[in-house]
Amino acid sequence: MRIIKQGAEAILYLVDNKLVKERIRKGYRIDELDTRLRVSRTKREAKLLETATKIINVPHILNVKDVKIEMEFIKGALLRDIFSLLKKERLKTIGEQIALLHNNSIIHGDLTTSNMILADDKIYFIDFGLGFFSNKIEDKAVDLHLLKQAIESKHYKYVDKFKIILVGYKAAENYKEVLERLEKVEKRGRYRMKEKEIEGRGL
Amino acid sequence: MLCLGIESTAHTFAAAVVNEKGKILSDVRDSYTTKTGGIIPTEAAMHHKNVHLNVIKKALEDSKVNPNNIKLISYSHGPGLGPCLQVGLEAVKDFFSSLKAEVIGVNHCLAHLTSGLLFTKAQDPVFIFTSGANTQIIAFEDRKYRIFGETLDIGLGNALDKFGRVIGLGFPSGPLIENLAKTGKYIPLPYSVKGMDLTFSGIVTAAINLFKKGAKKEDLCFSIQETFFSMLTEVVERAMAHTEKKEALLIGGVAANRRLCEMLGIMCRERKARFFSVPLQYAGDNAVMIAWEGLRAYAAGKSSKEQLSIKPYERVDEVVI
Repeated sequence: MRIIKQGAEAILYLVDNKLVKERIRKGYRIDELDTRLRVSRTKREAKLLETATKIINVPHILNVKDVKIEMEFIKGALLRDIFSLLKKERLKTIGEQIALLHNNSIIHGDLTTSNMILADDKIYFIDFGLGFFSNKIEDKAVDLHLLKQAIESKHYKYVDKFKIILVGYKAAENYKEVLERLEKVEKRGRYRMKEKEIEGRGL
Repeated sequence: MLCLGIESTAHTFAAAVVNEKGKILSDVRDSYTTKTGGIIPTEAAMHHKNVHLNVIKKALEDSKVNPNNIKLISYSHGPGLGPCLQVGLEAVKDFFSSLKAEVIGVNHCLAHLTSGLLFTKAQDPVFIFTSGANTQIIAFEDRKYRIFGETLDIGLGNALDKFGRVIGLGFPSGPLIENLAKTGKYIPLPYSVKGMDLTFSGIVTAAINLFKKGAKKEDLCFSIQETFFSMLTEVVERAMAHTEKKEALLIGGVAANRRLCEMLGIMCRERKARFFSVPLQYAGDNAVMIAWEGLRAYAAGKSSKEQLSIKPYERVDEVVI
């Protein structure tokens, strides 16, 4: 057993060249909530991966049990480590793949550059741990918002690259509506959204 | 250098005198409270109007310094409630002509952050800023405080207040909820984390519905706390993993909650990081932090020549450090 990564939520390790993702117990959470979250997230993630496999590049699932998912091990570079080097076409492809996910009602839920891998000249999306199924414009917009936020905070010198990703996203069925909503999502950081409520008793 | 700080963003009107080494010479506050819950901006502003002269006078007296030696006045220009901010600004205008001091407007959230570094030994933490109106996960990168995650609807404190109001608790409800939670048992509630962002409203609604169906107050208080704080701790951990920072610092009024501190402490210990929390008397809104941020900004070369104004919607990530 070789530990690949000790993430905030799960531990990833290799067994016989297969990757096991095991959601770990969090000491800060009460047991009921902890178990509920770990089991339900594992189930949901497996379901999302099974669906996404048919659409874009994700690791293939081999086995699922309680809080463990066994899957194919993707060897490659995390996008977060090579983000500055990414060419236009590659960035567009990322947008296209997100569009494909959204067209199939898959919201990734944690689109960061740490959750994408470049391997065999293909972009793999990993960690659907916070993903869910939804066809709502709002959810798709928030999904993009998270990616933009991650790029702004982690790769603040390369914010323009997000715009190129959005060019690829044109493949999305509701492209226009999602982008319009994205603008709204961005504007409603706490004080911006609450402008009206301040007049009343909202605060 | 001596600085008089003035805070008036929400329910607290406060004044304090602090020197450039961070020594607190005076710290006076007066807060607007209600028994029925909620905060009405115009009423809070009225409260501030009534108390502001006495608060500032007392801060000057308590400091035992000659008012003529105060060379800088710093005030919260936002974010906050417009009518309340206005009172602070008017107070500054009244005083600075008589004091012959320079004036500087500072961002209230930023003051929470920079004073957090003054009050604790944290060096470069992920900040958890959670008060009534705010819930943000912030860290410093490339000369700016950047927001990594935040509430997409209401602040954690307000969410607790909203729930507290329905079950008959006063304002602020947080401490009362914490107390009731001690004997409560867990009832499942929705759990809402989106990446590093959070939403609270839906959970409040779910808890209120359960209350109307007869669920025990204690159980709901326990469950809403466990749910909210687990969500918050989870996104803080994710932000720490993302930024690779080894410290977390809790600031803002909700830092008074022991259970939240306990959870963040356990999370940090499990990932071999250090957890800090501002001393309770400085967790909520106060003027010491406004004075300190004024001194810091002044030392950093910020000009006080800008027109005096309020900025009710200014976000911390809009401020260049």
